Amino acid sequence: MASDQYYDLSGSQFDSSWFKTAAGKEYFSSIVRKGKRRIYGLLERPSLPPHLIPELISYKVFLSGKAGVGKTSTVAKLVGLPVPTTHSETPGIVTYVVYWPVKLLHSDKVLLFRLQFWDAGENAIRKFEHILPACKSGADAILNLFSFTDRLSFEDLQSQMSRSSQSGEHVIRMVVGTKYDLYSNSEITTRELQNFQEQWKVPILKIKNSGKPAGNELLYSVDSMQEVHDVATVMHSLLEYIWIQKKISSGELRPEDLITRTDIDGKNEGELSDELEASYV
Amino acid sequence: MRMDDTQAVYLVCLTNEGGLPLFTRSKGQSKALAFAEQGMLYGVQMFAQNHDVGLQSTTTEEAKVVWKVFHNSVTLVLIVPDDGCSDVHLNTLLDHIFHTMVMFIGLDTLENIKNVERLRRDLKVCFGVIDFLLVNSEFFGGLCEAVDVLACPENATLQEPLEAFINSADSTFGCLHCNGRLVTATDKWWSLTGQEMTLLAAFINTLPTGTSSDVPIYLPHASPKVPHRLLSISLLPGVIVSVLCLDTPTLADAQATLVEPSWRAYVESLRACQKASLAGQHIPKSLSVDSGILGFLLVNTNQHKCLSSCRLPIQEGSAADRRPLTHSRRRQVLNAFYRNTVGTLFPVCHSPQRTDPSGDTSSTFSHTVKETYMHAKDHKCYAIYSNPYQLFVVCSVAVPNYALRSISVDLLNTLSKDKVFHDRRKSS
Ligand SMILES: Nc1nc2c(ncn2[C@@H]2O[C@H](COP(=O)(O)OP(=O)(O)O)[C@@H](O)[C@H]2O)c(=O)[nH]1
Ligand SMILES: [Mg+2]
Repeated sequence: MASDQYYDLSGSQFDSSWFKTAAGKEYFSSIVRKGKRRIYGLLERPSLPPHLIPELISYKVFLSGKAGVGKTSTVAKLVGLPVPTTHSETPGIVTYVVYWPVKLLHSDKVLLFRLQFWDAGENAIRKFEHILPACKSGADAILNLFSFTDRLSFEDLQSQMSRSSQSGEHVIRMVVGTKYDLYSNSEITTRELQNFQEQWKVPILKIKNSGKPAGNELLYSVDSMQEVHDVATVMHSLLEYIWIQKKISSGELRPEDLITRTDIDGKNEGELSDELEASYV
Repeated sequence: MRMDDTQAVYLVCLTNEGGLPLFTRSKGQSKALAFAEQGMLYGVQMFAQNHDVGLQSTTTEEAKVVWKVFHNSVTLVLIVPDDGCSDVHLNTLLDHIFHTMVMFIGLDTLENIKNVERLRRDLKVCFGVIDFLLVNSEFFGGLCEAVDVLACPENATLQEPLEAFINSADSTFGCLHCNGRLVTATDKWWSLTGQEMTLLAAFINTLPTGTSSDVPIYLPHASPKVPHRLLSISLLPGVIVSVLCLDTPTLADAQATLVEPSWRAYVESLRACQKASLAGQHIPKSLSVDSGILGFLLVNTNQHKCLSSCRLPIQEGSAADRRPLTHSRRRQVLNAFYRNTVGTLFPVCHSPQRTDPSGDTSSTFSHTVKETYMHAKDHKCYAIYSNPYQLFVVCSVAVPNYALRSISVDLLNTLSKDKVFHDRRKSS
């Protein structure tokens, strides 16, 4: 695959509103209990009625970024665990699993993703040399995190991108900007983000992990899917991007065939920033 | 006893030389201490040191302040509401906190502080466990330096898969925890000190539900300078198997190839265990406990393990049912009763043994106290010391005084004779 090309294909393969339909809810009801995502031990799987058993696809995703940017909070948010309110640095590697069913847009096929996140404390990575290789080994994708309220974390990311492009490593990569709820204090401009995206051809997701959205408990009891709604946009972008990139590198899909919605060259900046706005939790 | 949960507790950690703040933690609705206040605490201690007085504790109108210097390098200061209890328990808490720091970053780094800025960053990994220790929870391990255990019929069944799993990971140190309580462990694990087992259990309990982890750990006493890897894998939510190892296996290998063969056949036992720990009684339903008993704490001071419950069911229509004590009140009462009894009437049992002036007051009496009791408006307490056991019981006020002793003795017999609290080490 030509890794220097970036095609924005989000929304072209996965049905992004399927989880709201009756058919989708049948699947989601197996991973949600009392309005919250179910948490599974290693010996457990979501149990679906036999006629619904979909194909299982597992990905390993490593989160990278400066201490305190919100790696642990982001994972917690995505898998449905309580988001930590104070910062306690992760003392080594912690892995999290989340299941997420998806229906393809152009067929009736349903896929069940098993996403395993690898989160490691930045200090632990520096102090103990086995940690980084363990996180990267066999990873299907890397999420590079920066925080909107920490300029240094964005600059770190820039240098990390150029280092990894020099080393010529081929890996599926996405960027996540955290603390988007504090956007008014942002130390990074929209222009900088656009430049970044043009330079590195990576999708940028924006996320709000803040612990206590007002009236949430109430919402959960009224709409048992609220927690799923909260993260659906990010989960879909994440899974679809990895899935498409894998299909492209295995030759099963050609990017030219996939562009149905937007013409990549004709895309102007206004559209780009709309796209960005849409992709936050 | 006025120990109130919502009252402020502060912890300040400073470098001994220069008094630079390393971190502060607080509990309750307390504001963080101002920098000036931290400096003042340090100043008082320096003054004492310069005059060759070792400052250990001081009491103000409302609060008690305890100082402790570790390895001439780190000073910990704890400020708590004064409830008149012996200092020994506060010193034990400080000792746990220092050894938590050792557990995550190693003794070398703490003994020779080279770069304060980096040390501050490194110490952030300890906050989860330290915060856990500062809260008076339903865990008593920190208080009695003995690991909290869960007694359920599955204890014995689960020994075999545990041994098989630990073997397959090329280790001899391993254990299974269920919602923070030890279910079963290898002989080698039991050979760790009470403090080590307690701090490890606390750490494992702070891991997010359902996760697996690979964390460098310096065993505070067995290996304070050389780290091992602690792999912890959630088999079911809250049910975590842990193994201490060196370079192998990797976390990915352990997850992918070691878990299924050892544990798949035992899922039902694991589930039963999970259920038992959530019920909060921590002892098998089949054991008969007098309906007047609301909560208990049993410590085995030899093996450094403790069994407790603050959620024994109240029989409907029984005398205890008329003015039931809430679970959190039972926990408070049990906690305070323990702290008032141990260090004054009953001997303290440090694990590992400590020689520092830890505030242990020698018994007020020349003879050994074997039993004691206490009455209050809403509860009664009874304690028995029968080496190696220390039992603390909270009873309903409905229990007549003359019956307190006999129901406590019965409980001690039931728990110590039954295999639920037996010595699970093969070697003894
Ligand atoms: N307001 C806000 N705070 C966040 C967000 N993400 C993380 N935080 C906070 O940032 C701090 C560090 O987060 P953490 O996930 O532990 O960082 P890590 O070191 O990268 O794992 C914590 O106090 C979080 O509560 C976010 O999206 N919004
Ligand atoms: Mg973290």
